[in-house]
Amino acid sequence: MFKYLFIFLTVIILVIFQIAFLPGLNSNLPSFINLPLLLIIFLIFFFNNSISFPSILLSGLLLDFYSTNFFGFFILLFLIEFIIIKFFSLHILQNKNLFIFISLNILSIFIWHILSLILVFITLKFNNQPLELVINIKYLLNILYQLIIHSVIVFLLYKFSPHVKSNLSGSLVN
Amino acid sequence: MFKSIFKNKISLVLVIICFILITVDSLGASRYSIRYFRAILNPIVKSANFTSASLADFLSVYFNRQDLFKVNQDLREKIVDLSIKNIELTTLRQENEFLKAELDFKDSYDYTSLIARIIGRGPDYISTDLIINQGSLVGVKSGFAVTTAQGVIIGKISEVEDNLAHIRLLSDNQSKISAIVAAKQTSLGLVSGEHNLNLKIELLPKDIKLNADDIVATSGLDDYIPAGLFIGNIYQIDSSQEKLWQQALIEPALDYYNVRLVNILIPNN
Repeated sequence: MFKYLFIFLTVIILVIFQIAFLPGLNSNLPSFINLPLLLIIFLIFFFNNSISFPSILLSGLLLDFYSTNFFGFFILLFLIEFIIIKFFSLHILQNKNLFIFISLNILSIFIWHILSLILVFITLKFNNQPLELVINIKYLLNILYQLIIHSVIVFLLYKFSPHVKSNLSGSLVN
Repeated sequence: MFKSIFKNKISLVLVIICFILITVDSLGASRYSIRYFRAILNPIVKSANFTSASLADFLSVYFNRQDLFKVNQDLREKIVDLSIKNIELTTLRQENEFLKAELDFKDSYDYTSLIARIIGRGPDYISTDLIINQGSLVGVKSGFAVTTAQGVIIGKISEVEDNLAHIRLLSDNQSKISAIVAAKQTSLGLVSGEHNLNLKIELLPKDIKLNADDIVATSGLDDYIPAGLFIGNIYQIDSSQEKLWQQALIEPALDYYNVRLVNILIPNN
């Protein structure tokens, strides 16, 4: 029970960091770092479904409270992300090592952006606006920065956390 | 995979809560269902943003202390320029007030400003919206102008909840606002956001001679938005022959993301 409480509290803190703390420090930071996404990949990779699944729902729910999109947008986004990442980690990228973990993080960022664009497009957010207004050089650069920063964070976690290091020792994902 | 998930009681409870909230929202009653969750989270979100903003301010003073001297000098020069302009404008205002009184002209709108604090940024990467801590409970409505204390418009209210609202910045792709260019001849145009980064003014007649640094301000033609709110200065003009209208890029008067407190203009009538 304490494990759940601790992880749920971490989810809440990270979502508040993403929505309120990072924009206060620098307006561009939320575009470069996606803490809830980083956390859910961490949870999918290191914890079983009974912990990762409710944490993902909670992250989506909290982000939906502060989103202008339809309610359930982030829940849906995280659920699809969960299914795809789980599929990849169970069938394709099965070994638990640093390279696989970074690869899954990179994959999750691509999936996130593709899905959010599709979902936004479906919900007619573009309002008859040309697509190039949204997918512009700044948007693509943000994705590139996000890939680099997330990879660096994962690497630093691996380097400085003995717990993460011992879990990335080459065993199979369960 | 899902079989094992639904055996877990916590997962099941959360799935049910999400399902209920989504259903209630799709039925149009989200205000009542989500209000309580937000009421709990809002103070934490507000204090997190306040803490990080204070930290950023402290760090910026420390890191930019060498630039401060130069900035101070530039500002002193600007004050002299503005003082000269201010004298001209005061004379014109007095003249204008006198003429209005002579014609018995009354301004049709009157506004009250409501101060709000920016508590966060929307989690959506596609749009650029800011979240503020005032909502429909204090009379905020969609479409109201949002300005800074100096009378610079930064955007419009796009969505309102009970105790918070979202500001759609002028630089947002979906933002559009009627504006005038205070050039030699005043001319009407449409200011819109471009790539969530820039501002541009379009649909300007070709016979108007635009210059860099011309002032762009609101025209007052939009509902709830008074005339004369400063938007920015023109810095790049595009008046190519093949186009029916001319357009120009605008340098915003300030960095919208560095604003901490805003004024919401609420019409009195």
